Formats: sequence, structure tokens, C-alpha cells
Amino acid sequence: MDGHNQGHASNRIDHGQNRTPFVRSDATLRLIFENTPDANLLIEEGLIFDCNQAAIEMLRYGQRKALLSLPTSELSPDVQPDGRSSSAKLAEVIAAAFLKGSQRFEWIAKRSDNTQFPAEVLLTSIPFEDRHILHAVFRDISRRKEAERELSRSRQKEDEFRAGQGRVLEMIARGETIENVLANLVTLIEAQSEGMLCSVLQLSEDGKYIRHGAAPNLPEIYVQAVNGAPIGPKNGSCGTAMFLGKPVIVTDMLTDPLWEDYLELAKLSGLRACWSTPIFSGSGQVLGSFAMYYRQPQAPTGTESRLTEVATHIAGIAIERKRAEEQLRTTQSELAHVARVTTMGELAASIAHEVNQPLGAIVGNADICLSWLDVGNPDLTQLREAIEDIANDGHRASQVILRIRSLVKKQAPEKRPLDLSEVAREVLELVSHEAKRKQVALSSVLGNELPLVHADRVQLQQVLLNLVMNGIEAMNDVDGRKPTLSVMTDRFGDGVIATVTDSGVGFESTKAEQLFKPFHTTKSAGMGMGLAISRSIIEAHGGKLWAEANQDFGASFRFTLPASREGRND
Amino acid sequence: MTEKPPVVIIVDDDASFRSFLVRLIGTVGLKTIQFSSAEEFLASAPPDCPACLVLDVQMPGLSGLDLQRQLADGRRALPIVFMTGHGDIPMTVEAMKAGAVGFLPKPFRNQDLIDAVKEGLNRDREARTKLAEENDLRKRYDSLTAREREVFALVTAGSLNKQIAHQLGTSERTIKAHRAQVVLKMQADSVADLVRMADKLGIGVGQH
Repeated sequence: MDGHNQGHASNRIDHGQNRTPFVRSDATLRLIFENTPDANLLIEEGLIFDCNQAAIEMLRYGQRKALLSLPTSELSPDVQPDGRSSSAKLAEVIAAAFLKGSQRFEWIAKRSDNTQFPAEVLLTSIPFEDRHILHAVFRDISRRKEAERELSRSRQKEDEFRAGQGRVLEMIARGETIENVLANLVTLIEAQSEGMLCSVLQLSEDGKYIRHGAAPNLPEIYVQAVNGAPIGPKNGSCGTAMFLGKPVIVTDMLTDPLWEDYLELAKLSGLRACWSTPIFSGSGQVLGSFAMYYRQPQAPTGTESRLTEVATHIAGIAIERKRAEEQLRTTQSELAHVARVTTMGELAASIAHEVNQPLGAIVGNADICLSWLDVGNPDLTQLREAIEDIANDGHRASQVILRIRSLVKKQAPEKRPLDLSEVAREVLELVSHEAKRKQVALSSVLGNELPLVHADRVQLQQVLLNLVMNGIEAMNDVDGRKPTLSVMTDRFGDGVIATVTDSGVGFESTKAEQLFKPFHTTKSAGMGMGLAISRSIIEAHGGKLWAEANQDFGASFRFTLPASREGRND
Repeated sequence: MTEKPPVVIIVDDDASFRSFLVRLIGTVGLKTIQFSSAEEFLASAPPDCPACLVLDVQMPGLSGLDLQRQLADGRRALPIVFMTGHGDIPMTVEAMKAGAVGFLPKPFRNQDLIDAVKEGLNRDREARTKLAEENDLRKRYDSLTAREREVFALVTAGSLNKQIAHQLGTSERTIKAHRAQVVLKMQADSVADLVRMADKLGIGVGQH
């Protein structure tokens, strides 16, 4: 074995013995050869001419002579996992072994019973006299392969779990409904452990009651019973966890004292183990709870507490964000309401007059009727006419009140399909007296059959009212030209456009954007929020609001709105 | 001289309120004419009878106060009862200064309006009487000769016949004759009566 980096055993081979059986000369070497746990084979010209006990067992040949003289091709299936034929690949590695002295490679080997197993093969060429002898060592690597597969499976599962978390976070970022987000989160966590069911519960804003969150796979009767239940020191797993602000592990719901009051429900649900962990906000406030359930009594393991950590973290983000959005919406709608009431305040004198006018006639006519009745034997025709006038005026006064009531009332925005021209008509009615009072000529060109927009009526009225009132205000200090204000609505692309044009003081065209800044005001009484709020309303409806200086004088305010997907069906 | 029946002129842009006013004023047996704007009223013929305007302060176009001003500048000033939807003190003051009979915030008591309208009609009756008297007096004065007017002025200024004769360079007897003519033509009962007439006609001591 001169020069070759083979095992020390080969160095002891007797060069002097011609054609004598290889190795057999040395009993010690033979002993080692026979006892090594790897399968050892000696091959010459494609035939096995010697092997050890391990080879007989590994390849399942029962006895040595069954293996001897066997062609090596018998030890491989026809093709290897890469799709190439075993014989071609084998020819390559043998050639390489002769060339480089040895070759180590993975191989699918075949046993006598035609079963296959993965093996690591070390092929060593042994130059013995002029013969080409190969020493092959087979090591069964089935277990290692299985472990590798297992590892890759769990890595893949981990990757999938991560991707799942990413998807849920993306849903939160996209602003999907809290129900959807939490249901997806629960489904994701449930998929990580066989037989586990999960739920997310929310805590009511006052911190007293349980609100349903998501539990797509829990029994409906259980979900319904939990929704609205109070939290407390002995209120099942979730109610207690939220109350204490600490995880609550119940390994058997049927025996745990925390479930005493809910035993019937526990029995009905078919659930046994329930481990609940509170969900916290960034500032440490309890937002809800995340629970894991099993149908058998059991205690959590490390994997499950890791899953719980992920679930409570993501659910916390989702619930906190939903609350922040609700808060923002409430604030915005309150601000819009304040602005509306402020505008109505500016209109108060006009409104008072508009209500007073019919009221004055009502009171006066009623007095006339009474005096006729006092005198006795009244002219019934005259009496009837007067009472009819009273009724008409009463109706008229209530119409005025009706028009303003919705604008002053505090209510959550509600989007519906609306006709912009109809909204504009309502606003024009509302301001007609104010325009009269300020000697402003009011005109309108309202488009017919405009595409409907999906919008909140009160908020759209508010925007138009604000623009019209601003226009009237802008003409207060203008001398020498007749104050005129026009309101136009029309189609614009697929949607609609409204334009409010005045002949007032106008503005420098470079300052158009400043008008929309909060607290920008030119009025003594205004708070400077009107246009800023109007723009935020229009943008919340998917449109744009902007100002243009007119060519001659005055200003035009325009806004666009996209058409409602529901379309016109009236 | 028999008086023509008075008329109440209603100017208000609100039709239903107008119809109430017509009804109300009708209950005391007064005649009404109604207009929906100040412009419409100005385009109509002025009334030739005691009249009173019932006017809404706030109207599109010419406002109630504008109308008051225009009437004062041009045509015969009519007594005006103003009505307003909401009390505006500076406006009230302005209207009252310009001679408004009343300023009634809507809604008002029916009797208040009736009282104001009656007061307005009385004022207009007086004004018409005064105007008629003035016209009559002016007619009488116009019938005097130039010398008689000189004598009239001097007599009402308190000069004696002798002084007047001296001043006009004529005899005392001639002056006496002129003086008798003046008293006759002016239909005066006494010198004191003549003095009152001179005052009304704006003929005084300062004539010279």
C-alpha cells in the first residue's frame, strides 16, 4: 500500500505472498475486519470476493457464501435518487477511487430482499501486486437521514409559522377587521399543535366584561356563553387571567376550583384543559386573553408557552390598534361635530329668523281666531282659512328644525349611496335665508342623474355648508360689485365634482394650500378648522378638496368624490 | 272736508306673514294693500289718503331701513311700523330716530301692532291736515300783492302803521288800507293770528 494513505492494516500485508487470499494471512487483522460494525467488502473485477459479518447482516444475505462471488451491481437499485443509473455512477466513483486512492460518497444500497437503505460508502483502491482490488465500507445512514429529514421538516414548519405571523401582522397593517385578524391568528396557532384549540377574548373598555374575540373552532354554545360574562377572581381560566393580569393554567376544568361556577358549561363544551394568558397593551393595560384548550386534562410544555407568547403579542398589537383607530374615529367625528355646531352657530341668526317668521304668524293667527270665537258666531270660512294658515306655518317651522337637527345631532358617521346634487339642494335651502340677509345672490347648477357617491350625508352637508358660508363671509367686505355665490355639481371622470364659487376677496394663488391648514382663519369668530376638517372629510371619502383663485375676482372651492360601487338603482 | 278712508300698506317678502297681517288689520276694519318687496311698493302710485306702512326690516334687495331713507328723501314721508325677526338694537335706534312709529320684534302681540298702526294713521292724518293747512295758507299768501306782502312782514314783525308808512315812504292811511287787505285775504282774526301764520309760512323778522 506504498504511498497511499490507507489504514494501517494494509501496511501489514505481506507482499511476498503471490495470489494468496488477501488479509487472511493475518489472524489479528481478520479479527478486526470481522468485528467492525461497518459492512466491509473486498471487490475485484466487479465481484465480491470477501466480506465481514456486518456486511452479511446489513445486506441481509444470511450467510457469507451468498455474498461471495456476487456482482457488485446486485448491491444497488437500478437508479440512484438523482435519476442516473447506478452502474454508470458506480463506474465513475470506481474510476475516481483508482485515480485518487479513495472515494467517499452517499449511495442507495439494495439488500438481498430488494429493500433499500441510504449508506455512506468509502471506496478504497488497494494496489495488491498487479491486481485491482477495491475495499468498500458501507455505513447505514438511515437514522441520520431520518434525523435530517425531521430537522428540515421542523425548519419548514417554523418558516411556515413565521410566514403565518407575517401574514397576520400584514392583515393588521392593512386595517382588516379585528374579527378577521384574530380568527387568522387563532387558526395559525392551532395549526402548530395537534389537538389544540385556541381562542382570543377581549376585555370590554370598562374592564369588567368579556367580549368575544375569535374562536373559530370552539363549540358555539361555549363561545356564546363566554361572551358578556364578567371577569373576576374565580371566573374560569380567561375571566380569572384577565382579572389577575396573570396567566392561569387549568389542567383539568372539571376539577379546578376556578371552574366551579362554570362546571356545567365545561362539561357541555367537551373541553378539559384550558390555559389562559392575559393580553397586554404597550402600556401594560389588560386588553383581553389568549387561551389554549385540549379535550384531555394536561399541562403546557415549552412549545406551547412559546406559541402563547407569539399569540398574545400579535393579538395585543391587533386589539390595541383597533382601539386606537376607534379612538381616532371618535375624535374625528367629535371634531367634525364641533365644527358643524360652530357653523350652525354662525347661522343661528338666520335660523332664528326662519323659525320666528312662521311662529309669529302662528301666534298672531291663533290670537285672531280666539278673538273671533270670543265675539261669538264667527265666520267659519274665515276661521278655517286662518287655521289652515296656522297648520301650514307650523309645518314650515318644523321643516326648518328638521333641516338643522341632523346637522347638530351628535352621531357616528354612516356611509350610504347619495346623490351629491340632492345634498347640495338641502344645503342651499339651509343657507337661503342667510344669503338673503347678507344680500348675496345665490345660484346653482346641479347635475341630474349624477353617479351616486358612498358617503355620510351629514358630513357632506357639512363640507358644502362650510364652503358656502366661507364664500358668503368672503364677500362681506367687498364693495362695488354684487355679491354672488354659485354652487355647481357635475360628473367628473367616473365620479362627481362640486364647485362653490364666490365673488369675494379671493386669495393669492400661491397661498391656496395655507387655507387648509388647521387654525388658519381670516374671520374674527371662526376657529380656522372648517377647511381642514372639510378636507379630512372629503379625503376620508376617497376624494380631493382644493381651492382656486378665480381669474377675475373671488375664489372657487372644488371637491371630487369617487362613484359608489353600488351604482344608481333608483 | 270729508276724509278718505285710510289704508295700511304691508311690505313683507314672506307670503304667509303678509296674509296674517292682512287678516289682523282687517279685524279692526282697516283697508290693506300688500307688496312683497320695497321696490314693488316704490313703483306703485303714492296713496291719496291717510296711510301707514307696515314694513319687514329684512328683505332681499332694498331693506326696510333703505326704504325709510328713500321715502324721507323723496316722496311724502309715511309713518312706518317696523317688524323684525330678531331684535337688533342699533337698527331699532336708527329706525326710531328716522321717525318710525314702532319697532316690533316678531312674534308680537296683535294688539301692539294694531295700536302702532292706529298711531301711525293718526300721525299721518295730522300730517295730512297740517300739510293741507299749509297749502291753504300758502295759497292765501300767494294772493297778496308785493306791497301787501311787505306790509304783512312788517306788521307781523311788530311795527306800527306810522313806522311802516315811514319805512315804505307812504302815508299812514295807505298802510291802513293795505293792512285791511292783508287781514282780509289771509282770513286772519287778529294780528296775533297773522303772526302765527307768518310763523308757519316761515316769514319772520329776519326777512329784511
